[in-house]
Amino acid sequence: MCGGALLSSGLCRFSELTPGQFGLTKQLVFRLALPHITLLVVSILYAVFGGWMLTLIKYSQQTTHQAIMFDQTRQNFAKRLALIGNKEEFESIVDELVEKTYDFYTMEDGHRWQEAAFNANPLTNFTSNLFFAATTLTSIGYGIDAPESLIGRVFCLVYLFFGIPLYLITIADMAKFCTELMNRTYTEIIKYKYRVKRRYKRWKSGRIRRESMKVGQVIIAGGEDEVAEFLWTHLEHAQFVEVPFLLVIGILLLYIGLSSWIISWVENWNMMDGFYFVMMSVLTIGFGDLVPRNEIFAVPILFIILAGLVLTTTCIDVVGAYYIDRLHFFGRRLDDDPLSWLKEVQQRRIEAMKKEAMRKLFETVTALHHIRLTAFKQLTQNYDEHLRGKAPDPPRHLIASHATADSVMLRWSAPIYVDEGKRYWYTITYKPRTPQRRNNVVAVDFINKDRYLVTGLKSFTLYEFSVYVTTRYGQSVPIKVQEYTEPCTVPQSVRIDAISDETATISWRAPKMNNGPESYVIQFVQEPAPQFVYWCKYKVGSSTRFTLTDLHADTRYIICVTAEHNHGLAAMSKSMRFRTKKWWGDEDSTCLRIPGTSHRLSIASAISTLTALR
Amino acid sequence: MGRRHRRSKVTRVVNLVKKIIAFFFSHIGLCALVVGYALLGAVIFKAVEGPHEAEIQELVKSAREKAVDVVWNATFRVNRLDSKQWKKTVLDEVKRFKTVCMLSIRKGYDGKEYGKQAQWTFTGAFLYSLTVITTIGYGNTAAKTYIGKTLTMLYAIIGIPLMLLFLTNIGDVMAKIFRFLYAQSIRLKFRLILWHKKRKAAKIRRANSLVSRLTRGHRVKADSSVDSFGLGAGADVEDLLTARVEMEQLEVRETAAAQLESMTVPISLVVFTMLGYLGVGTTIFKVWEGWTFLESFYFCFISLTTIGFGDKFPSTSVSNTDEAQEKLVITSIYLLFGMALLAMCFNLAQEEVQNKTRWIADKFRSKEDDDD
Repeated sequence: MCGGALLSSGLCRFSELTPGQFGLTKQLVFRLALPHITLLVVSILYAVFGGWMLTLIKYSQQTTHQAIMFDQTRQNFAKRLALIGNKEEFESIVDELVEKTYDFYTMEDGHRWQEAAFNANPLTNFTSNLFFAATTLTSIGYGIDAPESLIGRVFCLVYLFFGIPLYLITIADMAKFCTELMNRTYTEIIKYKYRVKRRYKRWKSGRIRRESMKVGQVIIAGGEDEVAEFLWTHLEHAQFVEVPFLLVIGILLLYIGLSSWIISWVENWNMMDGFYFVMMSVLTIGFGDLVPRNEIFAVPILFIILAGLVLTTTCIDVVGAYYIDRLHFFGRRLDDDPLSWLKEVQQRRIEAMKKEAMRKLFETVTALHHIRLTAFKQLTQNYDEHLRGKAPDPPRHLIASHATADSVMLRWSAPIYVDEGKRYWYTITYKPRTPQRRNNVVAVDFINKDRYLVTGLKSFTLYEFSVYVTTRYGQSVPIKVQEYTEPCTVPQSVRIDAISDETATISWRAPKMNNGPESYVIQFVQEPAPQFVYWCKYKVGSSTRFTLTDLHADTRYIICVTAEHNHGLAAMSKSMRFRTKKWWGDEDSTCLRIPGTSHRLSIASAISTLTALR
Repeated sequence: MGRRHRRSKVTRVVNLVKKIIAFFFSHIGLCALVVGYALLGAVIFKAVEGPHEAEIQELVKSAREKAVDVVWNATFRVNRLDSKQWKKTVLDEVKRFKTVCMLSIRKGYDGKEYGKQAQWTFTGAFLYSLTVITTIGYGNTAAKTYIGKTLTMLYAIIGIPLMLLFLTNIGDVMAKIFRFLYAQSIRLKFRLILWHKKRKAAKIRRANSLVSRLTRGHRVKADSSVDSFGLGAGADVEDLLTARVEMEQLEVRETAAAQLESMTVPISLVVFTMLGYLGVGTTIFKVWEGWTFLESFYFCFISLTTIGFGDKFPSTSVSNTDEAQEKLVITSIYLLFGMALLAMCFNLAQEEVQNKTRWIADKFRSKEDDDD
């Protein structure tokens, strides 16, 4: 099943065309064809210019026709025969005649040589000079009518130096055009053959159904990327169509045979000589032993030769390049994959797609970042508006106290300003601050008082408490406090009940969990505290209240209570710090003395500074 | 066992054939193949055209002897006092001889002396083969028999692609060598420039150190602040000079890198190489053949561009002497490598022209963009 045909050998690289586009716009045709037409016209004008220049140069040479010279030579020969005396002199004269006969024959064709065909005007030799110029520019170079004077040869050198590259480019360009034309024609023939075959098959099977496959998607125009993309999409339906080499060579031989017949008929040669002449011309060897001499048909013969030259270049372009490339890499590259070219193009396309994807991804990330920033900015503005308009003020002075093994007392003050008439309440949330555990936030709502006893806590754990003011329109900013709950085996709620200048009364509660009957030990010391072994200890017994005596006045003390079990001391409770009161007699003098001392010191420092300055 | 052995043998044979073909289409193999093909052509054409040439020369010789006898007998037998009848007899015989000569020339008579000079010697046939496969085609020596012409056509059809392949390969190799030598010359030039600028930098640095020493001695003598300003100015000047020299070196390196990266041989160098090669050939043929300078240059140019008029031809190369064979070998080598050199020059010039065209197109496009 032939879904599409593609010519792999003769792809033209017109990047302006899209795949499958057959109709060319007028502007496109003009743009594409203009360079080729210009090149062709310049080449033709260059050849005509060469013909005219050679005609002028040869006219200045005053060349005489060879027929008259030959006739004069023959007359001189006859006259000299009458004067000979012996046979040796006669032989030398005959040898001279033979040499001159050969020279004249090589300039004129023997069969068509006519003495009466003498032209008095050398300017009519333009045709032969044009023939000479064109065949020389294509490097055939028969050599007949080559200039012999100095000016002629110098002109030939300069003329060919610039003309040969021009003609090489022109012939190569026309050969590419012929290659493309041949490829398109062959593709159309293949398409028509497949269409007829399919129609015959459907008629024979007796079914008339719609064409499920479209025939004739031909990709000629377009770059390698478009061709590779088309092939990759329709790889199971595509078929490579290459013009067979035998067909190209057959066309070439047919053309050579036809032109041989025409030239032989015009020049009155036999067929073998005509074929020989055309072959030598088309291969640009150009011996010059056989040269057309008919002036009327010189220009048509010239065009026949040039067209044959273009066709030969086409044949080399189609057949020769393939075989030369194949033979050159024959022993080096073993596996010949026909789709290697396609895979290389596909690989390049994949890399290009990756680069494009990376570029688009970068652009997308940049755009998203921009969008996110904009949204964040708008969100911030909305939050500010919300806070300014509706959020109530937070409570103040949150204090956590009376911590026990499972409860903490929270106490706070009311917020500064709340709208009158609007009802509000307090919300408490708390959670442990232990890092290894999952912290469950517990919320207690609808609290109307300014204090709350939080119960159900774990012992010996750090908790964070937050208090909000809540109204119908939202919550305030929370205020927070952190507090440790006590271990469950120590005395609870150590408290200072009364303090004087030399006594202090402490009370506490029993621990939550005990291992047996306990007794209490009070330990205290002045601050700063020394090592624990030097603290003062009082064994209190089972009482939960005790009064310390013989303390120093106006001194800071630190005190703690320890529950003593059968097996020894347990953990201490929290330490309490207190300061005994001042002695009643020293209070007034102390207030009077301190400002004077400060004043005196500052004056002394000023005096020392002035001394240093001086 | 036998089956695997046979497959292995077949594989070995296939690999051997592939290796042989790869060798023949490598560079050395191609040279050997071209030379062998030319020698084969020489042998064939000598065998085919040699006897024909001898036959034609014999025919002309016999016709000439017959004409001489007839005219001599007419002179002696007929009374010369009757000049009208004598002249008629002589002219008729001369016309008959001319007809025989023309028919012989048609068949391949080349005007040479009978038996003394033969065109289809081995060296002449070799040069003919070479001119066929290189498409030069002088035409002085050309096949005359039908067998010779047919063999020439077949020989050309097989030999011309072979010669194209040879020229392509040798041209590529020569282009690579040429580019390599050009790159080396560029590197050498820029190395010389860098050495010169480094020496200049060292000189400036030495002068700077001298100025610093003088300034330091002056500062030890005087303690005023004006000298410190002068010292600062001197230091600035030194730094500027050193920076300028370093900048020059950097510019030279960047220029060298840019030229090496582009790696396009200029057209003037290509044309100069071509004219140099033509000049060498002109000198050789001028000494050998006794031509003038213009004639030798004309011959070399017409030959290397594969035109091959044939009006100028090295005639002494086609005889059988040792000196002639030596000249033939040198002429052949000159033509083959000259054509490869010309192909290389044309390729390099084409690359340069394409780059210039692309540069001009980009310039116009950028100009149009600026206008828009």
